[in-house]
Amino acid sequence: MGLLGKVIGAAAEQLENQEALKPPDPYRWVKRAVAIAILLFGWMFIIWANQFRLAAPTVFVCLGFLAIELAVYNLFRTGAQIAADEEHDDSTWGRPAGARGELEREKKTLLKAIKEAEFDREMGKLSKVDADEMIGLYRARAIEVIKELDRLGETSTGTVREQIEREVKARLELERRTKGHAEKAVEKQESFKKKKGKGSKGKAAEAKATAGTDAKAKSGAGADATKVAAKADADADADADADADSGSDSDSDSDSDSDADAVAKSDASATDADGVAKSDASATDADGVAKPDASAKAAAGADATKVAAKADSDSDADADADTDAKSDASATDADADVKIGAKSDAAPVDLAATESSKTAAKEAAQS
Amino acid sequence: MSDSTPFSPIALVGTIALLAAYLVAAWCVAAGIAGNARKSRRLVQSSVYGMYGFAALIALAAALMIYAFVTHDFSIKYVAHTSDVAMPTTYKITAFWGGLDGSLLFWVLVLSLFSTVAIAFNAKRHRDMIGYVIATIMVVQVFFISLLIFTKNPFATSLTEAPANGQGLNPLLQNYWMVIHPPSLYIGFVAATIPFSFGIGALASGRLDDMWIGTVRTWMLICFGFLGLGLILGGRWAYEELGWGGYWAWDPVENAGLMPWFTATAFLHSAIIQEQRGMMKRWNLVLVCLTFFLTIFGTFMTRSGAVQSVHAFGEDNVLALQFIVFMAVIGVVSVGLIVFRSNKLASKSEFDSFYSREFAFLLNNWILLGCAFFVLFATMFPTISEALDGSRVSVGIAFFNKWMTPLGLVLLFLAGAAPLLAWRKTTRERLWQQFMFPLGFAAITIVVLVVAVPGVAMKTSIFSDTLSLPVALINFGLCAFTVGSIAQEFIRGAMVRRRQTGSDPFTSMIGLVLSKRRKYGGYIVHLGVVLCFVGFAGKAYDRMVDRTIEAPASVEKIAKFGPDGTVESLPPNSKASFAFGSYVFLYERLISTADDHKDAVTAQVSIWKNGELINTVYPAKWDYHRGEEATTEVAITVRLQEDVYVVLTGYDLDSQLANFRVFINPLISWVWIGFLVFAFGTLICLIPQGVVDRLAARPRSRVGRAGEVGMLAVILFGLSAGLASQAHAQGGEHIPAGGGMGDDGIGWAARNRPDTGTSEKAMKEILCVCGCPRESIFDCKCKTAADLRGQIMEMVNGRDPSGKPLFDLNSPEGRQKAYDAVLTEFVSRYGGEQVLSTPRSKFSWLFPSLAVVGGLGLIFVVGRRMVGRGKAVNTAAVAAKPVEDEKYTDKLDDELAGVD
Repeated sequence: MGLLGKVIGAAAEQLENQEALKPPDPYRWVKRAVAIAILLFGWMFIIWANQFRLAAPTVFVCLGFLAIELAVYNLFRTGAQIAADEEHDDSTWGRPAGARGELEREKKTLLKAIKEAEFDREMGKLSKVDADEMIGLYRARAIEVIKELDRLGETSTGTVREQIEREVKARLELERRTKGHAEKAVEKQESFKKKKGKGSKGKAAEAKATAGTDAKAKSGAGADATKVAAKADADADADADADADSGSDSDSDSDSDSDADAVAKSDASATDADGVAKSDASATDADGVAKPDASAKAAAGADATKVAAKADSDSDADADADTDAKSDASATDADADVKIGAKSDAAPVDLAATESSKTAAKEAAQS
Repeated sequence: MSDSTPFSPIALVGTIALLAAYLVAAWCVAAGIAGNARKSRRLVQSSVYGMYGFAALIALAAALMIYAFVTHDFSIKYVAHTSDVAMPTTYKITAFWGGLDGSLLFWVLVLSLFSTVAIAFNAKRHRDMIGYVIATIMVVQVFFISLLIFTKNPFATSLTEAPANGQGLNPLLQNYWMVIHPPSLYIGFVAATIPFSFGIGALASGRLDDMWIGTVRTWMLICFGFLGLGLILGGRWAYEELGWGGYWAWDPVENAGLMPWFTATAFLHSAIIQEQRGMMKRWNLVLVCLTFFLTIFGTFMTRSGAVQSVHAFGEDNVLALQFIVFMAVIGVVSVGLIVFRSNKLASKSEFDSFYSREFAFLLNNWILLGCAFFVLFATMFPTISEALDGSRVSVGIAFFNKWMTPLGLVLLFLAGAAPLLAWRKTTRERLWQQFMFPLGFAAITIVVLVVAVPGVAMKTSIFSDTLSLPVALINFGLCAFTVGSIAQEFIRGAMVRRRQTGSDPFTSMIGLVLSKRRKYGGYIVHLGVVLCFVGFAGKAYDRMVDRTIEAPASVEKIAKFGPDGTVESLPPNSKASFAFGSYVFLYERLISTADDHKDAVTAQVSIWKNGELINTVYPAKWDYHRGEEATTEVAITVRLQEDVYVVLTGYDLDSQLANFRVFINPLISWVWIGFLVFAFGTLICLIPQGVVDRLAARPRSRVGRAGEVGMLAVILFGLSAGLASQAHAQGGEHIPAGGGMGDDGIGWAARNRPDTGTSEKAMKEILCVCGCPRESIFDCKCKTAADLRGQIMEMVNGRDPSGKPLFDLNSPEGRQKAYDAVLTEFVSRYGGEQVLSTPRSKFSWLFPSLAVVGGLGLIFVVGRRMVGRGKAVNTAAVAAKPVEDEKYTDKLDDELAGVD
């Protein structure tokens, strides 16, 4: 739920720019030209009907015609919105930014207050003692707020350096968790061996169990990485490239804009964590076209991978290759689904992700 | 439909447009609320587009209405009622808002255009509340448009055959003030709807952080600016049009614009506290809702007939009831939502000291709110009094002035004092350092004025007749104090900036203003207010005289100098001249002209000073062929130190006799100049950050940057000057036709002028009953006033049967007795106190007294508690101050480096 909430938050953040990032309507110039042509034609007709006398009545009739055209156009859009496919509606639209927004504003207020107090001190309105005491209090609170923002890890402002630091930190955390999970996996494998005690398929089972638990652990970590990338993404713009580069080996030559890039690369690391033959899927992502909501997609993709891998690890696997292939496929599916859903909004992202995860799990179980 | 029933396609299409707009507005309300409640983007977007469509439909209706005016479609009743064929096209267009029905449509049009702009700029930024915002705006629109459709349809057609010609617009409205004055007030009123809608949107959505306040502040600033513009233009209109020598008469319609201006001003100050200290969230929402409520209340006052006014549209009980219901809805929804969200509106900080800027702002808020409520109370007092006990009373200028003058002086002091205080607290030593220069400047100003200007310490009564103070002198002192304070702020601020940036003084000053636009733009607004107060103070020294000249100079000139003599060669001591103040006025000739619309009689008067001609003026009377009233065109000679204001109050074309009233109005020009500065400051506050960034970002030479800033200043000043350039109009006045002459050939205004101070005082206190706009019989130029003046003089100078004077006018007691006797006689003669300018009812004094004393007490008690709490919190915070983490200290410093 936490991850879901953050994904929704990140998606909501990005929605502000969604309109701008939407692929432009290819017929927009035609539509505009038609609208202007109708307007001009109407005006010419009115002027002609008034024998080309541009007196007050003619001007107001022309304005009235313009008003009619605008009314028709906007009322059409009013109805068209309602008639639009309901699936394209967005449950995250209109959600408040949450605690992060509050903290950002509090920080801004505190920064201004510190500056104002400094200015008052320089102006001689405050004694040094009073000013220092006041500024000290503001600073203390400001630091609290910045810490809290860092803790949330969603600060929208920050330098490239800060964002790289965050990314590196996230990577280290990922590694740490991966190690922990691997150790657990070994333990699990031991107990599995004891339970089964079989010689012929033991090797395969061992390999499978390792792969499965690995996948589980790594997909979790992948989700974390995605989360980090998504956060960096939200505001990073050009900085995101740097983030992505530092976090991933693959597709560093991809130069598509900021967000999509960074997330795709995190995605790559997440898929990579699955260990087998997933570089294709991630590469596709990384090279992928515009991904305005890539953060949501990446996170959901990671979720899906996690579910699929989990299913894998529990299944009675016979062959390494099969299992790997399926977990790969499931991850790719999840990504594909997510991409479609995410283009319109974040809620379908979750739904699509869950749906594809289920499918992937099913397939893995069947195998 | 009978054959004679006129059919107008314009009316049909216009009504359909209104009906369609009504449906669209209703849809927007539903879609907006449902959209935000269900977090549905589709619904909210639909309401946004619906709102744009609504604006287009209303624009269509407005275009059709104006088309009907310019094509003389008299089958539409409203067109027939407010225009005629002979009117110039400009007035035909402005007649659109000249009547009640059209003014409501104009209101809807302005609100729809404003809301379109507001939503277009904020729909994405406030997406979690924009549906509620649209719904609120559209509820207001639904109300007004339902008035248009069901009660006051401007497209309603006549049931009988359309008249061949219309009735024409009131001559008073046929001047270009009608082009700019009402729209500016409407825009001010309408702009208050946008902050209210965002306030309600924030309350409904629960998004009560500081984000909404930025948007609201901008729109409130627009509301504040346009209301100020509307009020000042109204004042200028009254000054040039009504011919009574003044510009502000506390008329209910003027007050309707002033009340929301007070609350908007209060909000603009308290919003700064919220932004700086995270305090007063609840209070700010209250002010936003109150400002909107007062705009609707003002509209109700002027359109329902609840109060009597020269500008009001007349009595309409149905409309009054609809407005009352709507105001009740606004009140219930606003209060309900504020109470519902009360827990989210807690302050983040507390007051630390009385000597802090926030406390000065709080005080300023209380005074401004007090002003708004006092004006509301005094405006409604006649109505309240009649409703309570059936007694009819009047509230004249004197009553308002007695209370508003001291409140205004306190505000003036705060305008100078608040900038000198620091946020949170100012120590006493620093306080003295800050106040030293402004106080010294004020003291020097007072001393110089007392020494150099005799009579400057003239006393004026405030609160009651018994308390008299040299109010004008105090006013000048406070003006000097505030100017000193503002100058000190600018100079010290520029010095600090110069130290910080290392730039030259000019660049530092410009950088200071542009980087802290709201603060220093606000100071410029304060400076404008100071200049206005200088003009207000001049009112204490104005003088008036009435003179009758039996024959113009030209008659004498011919006799004395022959046909070749020039007027300038005449001695100013001619019989056709009279002296007043330091001027000599020479009546030269009377000119009679006529055109298609009116007959005009114009006097030519030359004004001399120290033997030199300074101006020739042409006061006139216009008698419109279709109008019921003749209007007076005043002639004003504008000078910085004083205006010379000449009115032709009567004439006789046969004998060439003319009757003049002359006013000398000291310092009045500073009111208009002050407004220019006020507008300039407001525009500075409204400069978007993007413009400043553009100026700051590009690497330019100093000269280049100075050029850009200079250009910006020229644009801003040009805008201000453009607005102010409207301040030259024709005049017109409510004067009975017939030249205003008495039976003996002397103008009524000049007859029975007071011969004693007691008579004059009584004449100024008693209101004329001729139907004029609450003028005293001292000022009114009608026959009734002249007769009443005569009666008062008889009473004051009356003698008993033995021939002994009834009153000893040489003693203060005797004069007071005479004054009281006159007032008592008039109250008894007219059956109530409605003939008195100042109500004598105890209730009328009790309420404001309680409000002032109670308000001060409340501020003191609540303030002490707040400060006590703040100190406790502060002490705890200092004690618990955590050690700064080095990493975060650097980070904070980095962030601070980016804040200007």
